[in-house]
Amino acid sequence: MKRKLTAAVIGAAMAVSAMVCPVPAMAAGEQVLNTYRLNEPATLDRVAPTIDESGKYILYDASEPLVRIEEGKITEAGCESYEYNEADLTYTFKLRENYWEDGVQVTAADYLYSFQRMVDPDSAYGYVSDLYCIENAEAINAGEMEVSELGVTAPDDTTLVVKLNEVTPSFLQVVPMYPQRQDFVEECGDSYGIDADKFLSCGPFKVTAWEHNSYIDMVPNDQYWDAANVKLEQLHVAFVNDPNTLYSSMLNGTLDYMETSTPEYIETFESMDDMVVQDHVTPTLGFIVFNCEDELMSNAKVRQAFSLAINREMFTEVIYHGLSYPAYGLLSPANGIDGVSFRDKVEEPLKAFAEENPDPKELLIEGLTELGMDPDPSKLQVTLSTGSTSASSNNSMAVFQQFFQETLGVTMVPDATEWATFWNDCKGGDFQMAYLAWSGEVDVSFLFNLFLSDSAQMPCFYYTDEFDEIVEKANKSTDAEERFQLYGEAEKLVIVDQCQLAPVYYSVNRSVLRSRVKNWDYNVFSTAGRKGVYIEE
Amino acid sequence: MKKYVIKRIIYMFFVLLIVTTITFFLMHNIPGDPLTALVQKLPEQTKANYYAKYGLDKPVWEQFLLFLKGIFTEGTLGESIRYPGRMVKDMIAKYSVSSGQIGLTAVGVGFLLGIMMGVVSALKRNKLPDKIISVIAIIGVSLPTFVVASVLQYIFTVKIQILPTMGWGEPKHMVLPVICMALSPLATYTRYMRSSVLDVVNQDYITMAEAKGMSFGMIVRRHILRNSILPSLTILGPNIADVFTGSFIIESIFSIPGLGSYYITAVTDRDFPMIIGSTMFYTGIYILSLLIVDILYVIIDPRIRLSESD
Amino acid sequence: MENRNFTDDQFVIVGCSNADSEKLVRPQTTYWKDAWRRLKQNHLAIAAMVVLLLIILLTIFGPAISGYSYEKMSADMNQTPSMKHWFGTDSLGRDLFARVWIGGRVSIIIGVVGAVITTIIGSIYGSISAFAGGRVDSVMMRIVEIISSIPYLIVVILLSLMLDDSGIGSILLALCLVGWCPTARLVRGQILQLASAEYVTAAKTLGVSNGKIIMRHMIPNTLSVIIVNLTFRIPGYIFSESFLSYVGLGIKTPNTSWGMLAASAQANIFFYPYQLLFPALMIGLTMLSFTLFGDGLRDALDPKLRR
Repeated sequence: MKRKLTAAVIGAAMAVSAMVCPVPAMAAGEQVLNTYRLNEPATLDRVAPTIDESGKYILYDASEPLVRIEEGKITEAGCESYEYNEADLTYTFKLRENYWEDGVQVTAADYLYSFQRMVDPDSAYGYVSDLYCIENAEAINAGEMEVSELGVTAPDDTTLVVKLNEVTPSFLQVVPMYPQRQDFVEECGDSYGIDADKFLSCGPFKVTAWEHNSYIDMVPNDQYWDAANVKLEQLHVAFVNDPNTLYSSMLNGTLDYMETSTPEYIETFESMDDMVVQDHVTPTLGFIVFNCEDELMSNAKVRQAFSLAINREMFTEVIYHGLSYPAYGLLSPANGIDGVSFRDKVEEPLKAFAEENPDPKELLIEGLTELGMDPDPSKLQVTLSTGSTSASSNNSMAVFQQFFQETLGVTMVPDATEWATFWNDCKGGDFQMAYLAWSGEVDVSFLFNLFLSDSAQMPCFYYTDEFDEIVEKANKSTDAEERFQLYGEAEKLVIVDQCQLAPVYYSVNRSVLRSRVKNWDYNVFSTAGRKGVYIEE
Repeated sequence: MKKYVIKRIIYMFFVLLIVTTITFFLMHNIPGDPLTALVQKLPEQTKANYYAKYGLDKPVWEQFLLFLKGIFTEGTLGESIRYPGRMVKDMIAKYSVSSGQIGLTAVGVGFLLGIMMGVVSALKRNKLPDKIISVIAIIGVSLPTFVVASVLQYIFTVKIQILPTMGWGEPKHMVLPVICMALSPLATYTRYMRSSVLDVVNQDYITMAEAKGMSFGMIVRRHILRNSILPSLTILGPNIADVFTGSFIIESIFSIPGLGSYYITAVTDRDFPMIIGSTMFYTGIYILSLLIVDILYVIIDPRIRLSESD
Repeated sequence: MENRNFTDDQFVIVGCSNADSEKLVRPQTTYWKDAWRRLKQNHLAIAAMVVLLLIILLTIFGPAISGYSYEKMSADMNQTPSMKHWFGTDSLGRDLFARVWIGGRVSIIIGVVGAVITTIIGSIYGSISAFAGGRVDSVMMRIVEIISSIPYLIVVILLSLMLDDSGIGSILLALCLVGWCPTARLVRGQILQLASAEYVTAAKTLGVSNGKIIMRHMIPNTLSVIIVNLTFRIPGYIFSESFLSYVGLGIKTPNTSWGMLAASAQANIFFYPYQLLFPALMIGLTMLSFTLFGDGLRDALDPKLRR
């Protein structure tokens, strides 16, 4: 017994020492990039209902859309040229000579197939309404027409023609145009895009390994048309969301890139010579939405009072340590039209309104009187719901509580639940005020469309014809000045006059990149991927 | 014995059926459905197609019957809704392996070390070794796992760079997760063992054995261990079952492809087939490990009779 | 019996000195009095009890003596412990000394009350199951298996919908709902082992009632395991409470608990370790005191360890 035990101990010690051999440090100049995503992609099928940000991120590298957004500009990628015919509203794409990783040529039919899958009602593609600008798309999605009747055609192997049914300035930016090969997709069936061997790349990289919930490995795709300019030899994407793990990984070289908003981390990285820290404002808006069907919140003055009670400067300072900007409008400075930032053209509407109404409590009392309720705010109790229970979210709730208490004298009860319960309550109108963040898109119309009465995605339960008319007019306009002016009017309606929503902050990404990584596209709307990235020798 | 085991396995299917039924109806009563987890609002038609695809448009009892039919006729647990294309059965089979590897190693290490430390602690009662071990045990359960994990990770991957920060596939990836997960079982078994050893050391048969001139090691193995290990065995059962559903925290800190995160996100994303699948898997493992523990009772302490009525 | 005649001279007076030898010198004591006496002799256990009382007193009066409001934010964010803020401040500039004691109110109640309730329920259930044996035992254990197998998260989400207020009561309910199951199995296992012990067989043969056997033999002899179980439940429940807040059943901000304080300190553990240290220390101290006190109690109550 004793001898056996000794042997076991020695064996275990040997096993441990074998495992604890030093991790080989990455040799400088080796063309390997280590990056991460917070979650693993649910799928790499671009048109699946579950396509998420992680999936899109991988596809930038592992597929070739017709056009990419590089350095803020639309650049030809899968097509070598495209032209737009204003008279009959058609885009004509001329494809490049490009090959799938198995050597088969990419044809117009592959792009056409993915368009058809997107509008096919059976696909349940979530952002299908982005495609309604294409001829017959809406009718097909409603099941009234056949998929083959879609206004997209492939007259030959290298030409793709898309016919729109109305002027859509944002077409190239919002419609995803990734090829999918019919024979491969059909062979995989339901499991297309869920594993390394159930996915076919025609982009700069191909997926060689996918350990679910752990990592994806990619290497250059030698069949890619621009393979000569792909410098990285390996691209490793880890799936990790613990901030301490990310921090440790940056320190010991496991990762080359990280996004964070923790000031202490930033301080450490800024003091290191081999790190580059950069800020980028994103189109994401943090806000409180009011349930306008709630008895108390049905009054615009009450809503305005709560909106004005928020001290946005203090909020961004306390919660984000200056790493996000106070928001007085709907659109963040990241959004713009033709390269001109929206915020340079349109004054944030809430600022002027705040100056006109220095005492939100007065506004609240007026509102309460109009409602025929007890005008004493101290007897009022409101609930603010949220779908996150993180420490930072708890802090945000505490800060709001203090704002409403000190400025309005109102008691606020926080109601934090897990996301699905929260969002279900929001959609069902079972809340008073809800605190959440919504990520905008490259196209300015995105956040406005949430308030249109026929889409009614924003759970404010108050949609007006006046707003609908302005936004629909703006969406179809091709004149940048006119669009700025119309969206400005619409923004003022949502933020001030109708006040369905109280903006709180514009989110800022702070990214840390190892300085030997070069040619990184920092633009928040970039779809360039890691194609041009290289490691400096 | 054989009769008893067969009986327990029959009971197991019975319990499995009840748990599945209750869980099925409970989960359809929590607010939200698989589409709620998606923020974007789908057109009504798309939504209807989606519900129809997964049979969510049918009444709950009908869905339940279809689900049972699927199990009995095709042996399938259905397809995940959150991860379309992935079969629940395959996901569980795949991810429970990594969770099991880490978890079983951790529980094994914790159990063996805990037993040893508990015995030492009891035999050296109120002396220095006992006190040191007690403090270790208390730290082991008072410090949250995520703290231990983050600190160890920092020490062994940043300060002394001898272990990988995260990832999966090689033995070295298991070291830190196993240490973190072994801590709580280690503490638990140590304390239970100390306590139950104290119960037996003063028994007459120990004095008798000493009087007979039996060697100390023999007394510990023959009499003390056998008579005091029972409480530790009792908690070993559920402990083994728990490791197969993984540890959400450890898996996300070390980026391990385990079942833990799928088990939690299945509930938060309302991925019904995955919820019910993992529940059935957990129940099965849980009952089996209880059965094994019950059999171990008899092997270790012959005085105990398997007390199911005959 | 035969008739016998005795005469006085057949008897001799020997005095009553022998009778005295049978008499107890110590005043007669009951089992519980004796236990208390032995507990008092265990200095470590008494020290633990004092620490525990101190913690409880601080959770009552601590927030007041800190001189700060536990919910009031200030510009002094992430301050290290100093004379001004004894435990430092958190990321919102709130005084951690005040917050740790406010959090202690919730955690102590949940940890201790929860542990005691589940231990009592579990012990009773387990002993009934083991003692009844046969079919009853079988059914009772299957019920435990069913309750332990239903996903806890789903149960808690449903519970949070049914109970509108999320006070301590509903948290306790959520914890106790399944928390008694492991204890029941543990106690059942112990009783099964004891049921075959010689003295129980002896008691049965002598015709002692079942209830008395449970009270006099079974419970005192399983006590050691029950006490360990109780002490381990305490930190377990303190951490579970912070998990419950995930689904919306926990304590709402600005109120807090030790579990929540520890969880929110996690993000900055490398920079402000003291924010974690104090809540973790309190959890550890509470558990240590209960363990030491429990050990003392066990020694005092255990008839075998009498010296």
